[in-house]
Amino acid sequence: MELIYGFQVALQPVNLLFCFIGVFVGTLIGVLPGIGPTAAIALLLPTTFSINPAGAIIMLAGIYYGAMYGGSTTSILVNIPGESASVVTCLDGYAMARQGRAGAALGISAFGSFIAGTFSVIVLQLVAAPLAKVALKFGPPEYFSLMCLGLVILIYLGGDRVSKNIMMGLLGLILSFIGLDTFTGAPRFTFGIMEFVDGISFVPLIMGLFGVAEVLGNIEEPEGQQEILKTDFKGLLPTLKDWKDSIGAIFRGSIIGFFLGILPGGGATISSFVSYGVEKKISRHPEKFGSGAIEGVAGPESANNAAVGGSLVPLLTLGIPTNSIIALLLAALIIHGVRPGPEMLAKHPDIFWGFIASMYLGNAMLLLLNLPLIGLWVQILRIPYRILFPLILLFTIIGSYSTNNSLFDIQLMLVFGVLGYLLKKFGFELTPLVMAFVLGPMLEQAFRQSLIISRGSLDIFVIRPISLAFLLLGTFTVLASLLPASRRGPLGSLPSEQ
Amino acid sequence: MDRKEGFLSFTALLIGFIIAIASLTHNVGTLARPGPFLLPFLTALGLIVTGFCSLIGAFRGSGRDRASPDKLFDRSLLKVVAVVVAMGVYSLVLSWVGYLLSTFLLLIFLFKTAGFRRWIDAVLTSFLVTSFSYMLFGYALKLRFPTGILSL
Repeated sequence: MELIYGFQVALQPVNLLFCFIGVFVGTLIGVLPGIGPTAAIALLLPTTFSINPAGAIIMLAGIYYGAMYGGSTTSILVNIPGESASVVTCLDGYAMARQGRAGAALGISAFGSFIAGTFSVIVLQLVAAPLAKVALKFGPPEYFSLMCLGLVILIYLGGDRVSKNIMMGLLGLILSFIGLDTFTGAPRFTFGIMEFVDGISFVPLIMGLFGVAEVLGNIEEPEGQQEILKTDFKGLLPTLKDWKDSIGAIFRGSIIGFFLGILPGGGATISSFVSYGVEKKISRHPEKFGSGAIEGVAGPESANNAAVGGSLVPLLTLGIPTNSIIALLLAALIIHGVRPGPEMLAKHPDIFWGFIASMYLGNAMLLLLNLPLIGLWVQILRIPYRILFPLILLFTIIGSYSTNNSLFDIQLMLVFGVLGYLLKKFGFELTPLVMAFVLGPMLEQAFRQSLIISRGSLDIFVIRPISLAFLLLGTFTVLASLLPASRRGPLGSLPSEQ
Repeated sequence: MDRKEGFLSFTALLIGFIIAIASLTHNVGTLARPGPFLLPFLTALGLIVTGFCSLIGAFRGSGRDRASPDKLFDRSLLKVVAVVVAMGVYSLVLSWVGYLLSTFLLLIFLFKTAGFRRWIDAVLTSFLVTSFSYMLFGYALKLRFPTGILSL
C-alpha cells in the first residue's frame, strides 16, 4: 500500500521530470571522466533549493545511480573509467570491445545494472521500514556509538592510510565545530568573522573540496588523446549464451553490492572490486579474466548499482551517511527541512515512499537511456577536458554564490578548493573529512545529551546493549585492522567513492 | 626521516595544540555539565596523539605512503596557481564589476589557460557561456547576480 502511495508521488509529472533529469545527468557524469557523481551532486545541489523536497532528492539520487550506469561506457570503449566504481570494468570490458564484442559488454552491463538496481530497491523497501521502527528505540548514546562506529569503519577501511584518515576525520570534526554552539549559543572559532557565526556552509565546502580541487588536479595532467575504439555496437541485446554466462554473476554481484553498500566506507567502488574478485575465484576459467570474460563485466557492474540501494538503508532509517555521496544527499534533505532517520517514515511518508518508488522508475529509464543513446554518449566522450573545466569552475562559483547570495562563500569555496588540492597531493582522502563534517553536529549533540542524561558518567555508552554492541564492533574493526594481513585490505588501496 | 610525512605530522600536532589551548581558554565544562568547548578539546587531543604517533613513524621512516608521489609539484603547478589567482581576483571584483563582465573576462582567461589557441575562439566561447549561464541562472532560476557599477 505504501509503495502505491509512493508511486503516486513519483509519477507526478514534475517528479517524473526530475527523475529523468537526474538519471540523464548522472549517465552523462558517469560517461565523462574528470567529474564524478560527488562533484556533480555538489554542483547541482543549489539548483534544487527552489523545488519540492521529494523532487530534489529524487533528482540528486538519480545522478548517483545514473552515474553507475554511465561509468561503464567509457570503461568499455576507451579503457578509462568514468568514475571510480567502473575501474574494474576496464579489465574485461575493454578487452571484449577489442574482440568486437563491445555491444555485448555494453548490453550486459546495462541489463545487469537494471536487475541489480531493481533488486536493491526491493530489498531496501523490505528492510527500511522495519529497521526504522527498531531505530525508534535509539537514544543519544546509541546514536553516538553508531556514528562513532561509522567513522571508525570508514577510517580503518583505508588500509595503510589509517593515520591520514584519522587526521582527516578529526579535521572534519573541527571544521564542524565552527559557529555558534547549539546548546549555549557561544561562538566557537569564528575569529570575529560574521559569516562564520552560522558555521561553515556545506555547499562551498563540498564545491571546493570535490569540484575545484578535482579540476585543479586534472589541469595539471597533460590532456591525453582519448582513443575511442572504432567498433560497431550491433548486438546490444545479450545472446542466450551471454545470459547463461552472466546471470550467476549478476545475482551474486547484486547481493554483494547491496550488503557492502550498507557499510560505511563501502559503497559502489569496493563492491565492484569484491564482486570481480569473487567471480574470478569461483570461475571454472579464471585465466579468462582480464581478457574478455563477460562475468568480469556483469558482476562488478551489478554490484556497483546494487550498492546504491544498500547505501541508502542507513541514510533513510538511521540518518547516517555511509559515504560522501550519501552525505550530500543527507545535507540536501536537511536543507529542505527533512530530517532523515526513523522519524522520516512517520513525518514525511510522501518523500520516503516517493523516493523508493522513483528508484524503480529511474532504473527503467536508465535501461532505456543507455542502450539506444549509446551513439550520443560516444560523441560526448569526444568533448575535450579543456572545454569542460572552465564550465565546471563556473558552475562551482554559481553554486557557492547561490546558497546565500554571498561573495564570501565563493572565497570560502576557493580556500577549500586549494586545501582539497593540497590534501590530495599529500595522499589524503577527503571522504573521512566530509563524513566527519556532516556527522559532527549530530555526534556532538548525541554525546552531550548522553552525558547530561548520565550526569557525566561514561558508563551510559556501555550499559545500554545496542550502544555496547556498536562500540564492540568498532573495537573489533580497529583490532582487525592491526593484524598484519589486513593492513593492506583485501584489495589494497581503493580509489575513493567520488 | 621521511621529511614529507614529518612535515604533515608536525602540522597536525601544531593544529591540535592550537585548538586544545584555544578550547582550554574557553568553557570546556565538565563531563557532568559539558561545555561548548569540550568536544573540540577532546578532538584536538586526538589530533595531537595522531600527529605524535605519525611523527614517530616519520622519524623511523616507516609508514611511507605509497599513494603520495615523491615529486609533488612541477611546472604545471603554474597553471594551477594561475587559475587560483584568477578566481581569487574574480571573487574580489565581482561585486564591483558585476557578474556579466567579470565572468566573461574570467572565462576568457580560463579558456586560454585550458589551451584555446585562437583568441577569437576563447572570446566567442566565453560570450556564449556567460550569456547562457546568465539566462539559465539569472532568468530561469531567478538568482540575483551582482550588477556592479556598470549596472550590467
